[in-house]
Amino acid sequence: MNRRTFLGSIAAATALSTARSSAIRSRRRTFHVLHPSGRFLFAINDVDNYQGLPTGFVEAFAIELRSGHLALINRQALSLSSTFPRHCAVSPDGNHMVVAAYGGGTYNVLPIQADGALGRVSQIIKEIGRGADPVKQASAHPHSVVFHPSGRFLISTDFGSDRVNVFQFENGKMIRVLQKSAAAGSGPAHIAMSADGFALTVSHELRPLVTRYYFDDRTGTITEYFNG
Amino acid sequence: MSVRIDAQDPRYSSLLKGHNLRWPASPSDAVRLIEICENTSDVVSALQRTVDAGLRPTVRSGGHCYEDFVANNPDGVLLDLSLLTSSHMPGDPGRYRISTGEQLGDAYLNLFKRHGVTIPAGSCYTVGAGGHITGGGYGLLSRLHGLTVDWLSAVDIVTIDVNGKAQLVRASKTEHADLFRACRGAGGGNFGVITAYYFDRLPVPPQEVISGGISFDWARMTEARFVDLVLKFGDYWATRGTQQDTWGLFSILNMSHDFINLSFQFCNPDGSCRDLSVLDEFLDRFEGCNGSPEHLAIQGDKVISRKPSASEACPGPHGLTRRGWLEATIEEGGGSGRERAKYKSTYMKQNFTAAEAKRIYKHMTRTGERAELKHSILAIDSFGGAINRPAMAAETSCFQRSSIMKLQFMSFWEDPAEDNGRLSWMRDFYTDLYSGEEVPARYAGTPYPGQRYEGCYINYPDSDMLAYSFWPQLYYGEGDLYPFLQDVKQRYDPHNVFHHAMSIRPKG
Repeated sequence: MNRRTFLGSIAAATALSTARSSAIRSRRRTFHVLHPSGRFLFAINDVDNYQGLPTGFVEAFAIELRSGHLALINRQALSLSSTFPRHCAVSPDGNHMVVAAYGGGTYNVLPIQADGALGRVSQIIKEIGRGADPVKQASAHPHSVVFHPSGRFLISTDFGSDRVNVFQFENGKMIRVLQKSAAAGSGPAHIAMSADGFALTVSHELRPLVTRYYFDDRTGTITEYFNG
Repeated sequence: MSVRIDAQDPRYSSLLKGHNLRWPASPSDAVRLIEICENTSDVVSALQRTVDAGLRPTVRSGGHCYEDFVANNPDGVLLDLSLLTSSHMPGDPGRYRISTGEQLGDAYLNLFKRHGVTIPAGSCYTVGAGGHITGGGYGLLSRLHGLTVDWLSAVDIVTIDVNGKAQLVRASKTEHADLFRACRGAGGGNFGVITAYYFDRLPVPPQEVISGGISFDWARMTEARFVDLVLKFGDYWATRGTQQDTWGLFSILNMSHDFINLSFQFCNPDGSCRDLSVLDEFLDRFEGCNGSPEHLAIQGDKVISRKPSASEACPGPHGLTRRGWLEATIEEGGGSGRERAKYKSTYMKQNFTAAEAKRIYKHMTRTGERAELKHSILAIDSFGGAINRPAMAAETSCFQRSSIMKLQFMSFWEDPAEDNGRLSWMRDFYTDLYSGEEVPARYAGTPYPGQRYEGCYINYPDSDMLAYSFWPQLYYGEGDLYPFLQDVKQRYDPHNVFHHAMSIRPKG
């Protein structure tokens, strides 16, 4: 677990308790991430219906550091069919959020405005794929997404299609670099990136497995060096 | 090879919008690419490219989708099938094909000239066969011949299979039968791209039809007269109109803030206009309603008979036109306008109650809004007849087989500044109309299928209904149909490539 995620989970606990006291109603927040400035917290709502539309949504909160109070800045719908989002990452420059929508099999990019508000989805990538497990892996399920510390790459796991993906991230756009097959039926899930950005660890959920890769930050390619 | 039109192409802006100019709602809702497909292999390759690039495809034939399901597709790809019109199959004379890009008016002309047959489909010339037929497809001949999907024998549809590959599938009663049933009433943007419809047999159109109209003056209208008129109209379809000798009669009671008129088309069940007693009897019901034959409902009609005679209907007060069916159908066919628009719909199994008619009167006469509500219309269509063969509910995905009338709420305007006023007028009207004692409290605001209503028509989709968790039941009923459609969705579009706000939702 990297530092950002760790901070995010502390903030998440704060958010949920504050939410109760300040009546910010939660639908089903499953993941939180802190903005690099520390001033904003973003929450992912793992639902398949928002305002009648078949999609999940994300929320932006302003953090008042002294009181720990959270104030809702805005809610933003994901793209149609981006259901059950479960993970997201904020670019190191703090300008973009990338959401992994597990249910709908999509990635959404959303711009983050100067006041912390989340703008409308600016890019959608729909994944097609499946894995060995006919039920749990019947279609693509983007599980986690992590920025390379340089901000120039994104690494994601696809639980449904047993893949680890690398995207280039340029001017707020994701561009596919590679789709790397992981062990069949393993369900790649969580990603941890080393602080220097030269290695990453993927944990798998359908099999007791951890895979480690070198990351080449010139080409965006990954090379497996350990699994077990 | 499809014609590929991106945002830099000078054709892009002209081809971005369909007929409802509300969509795309903003430049960021627009597609990045329009692919004009002229044949099935164009569709297969364009769709494959779209899916491989991780983009969302939406599909357009005639461009008449009422909601944002097609033209709002942020950064996606619009597959335009309007040039996919090659329908003739010279080597297969026993079978008829309609390609999805064909406009209804052209389909009528082609089928009539080549084969002397027709489809009982809609009256707007420019509506595309693609969306119209797969959503059910009804029109002036439907009381006589049923829905267009009732006649459908097979479809060609390009789906995206479990491996993400575009596959051309022929679906019929014997191959991919479930997909075929789903495409008979629920295929709009749900399962794939339909490229052709096949019919083993089709009905022969009437030799001639009589059409005409009666106008009713708002200036002389009172609430009591209005209620009387609406109930008289509804009573006919609930009683006499269910008998087979009347099935050649189709009528629409149209009303807006500045006009009320009743228009009709008639023929005998045998396609002739020899015996006009049914039409006379229908029109006689409206004597005393202060109708005026001078203001004919249908533009271009001429009064051809004002004298009673043994062979002519409607002595005296009714203006009528007797024409060949093809002329009537092609001349009346409109639908080419491009405006901002909003629509809603209701299937009715029974006549209006007086309370409902009063609520309609209230919203049609709301003061202070008349100017901005010009071209806000409620059209009450006759329904039933051959449509109401119960067996067709299980063969098709149109479950509404007990209705006697179908309502279409419409509003047309140009200035985006009127959007909110127009949308809220219609929403208020509809919500109020279905919030009386006729509707169980838990379904208030909707014509939920039950004793009186049979829900809404998916080809008149209304995104306001998404506010109700039971919206699928409004369009597909309470029975097994929606779960069936979800199952077909899972099997034929396992990755939910084809989706919009009101598409069949994956099973939870």
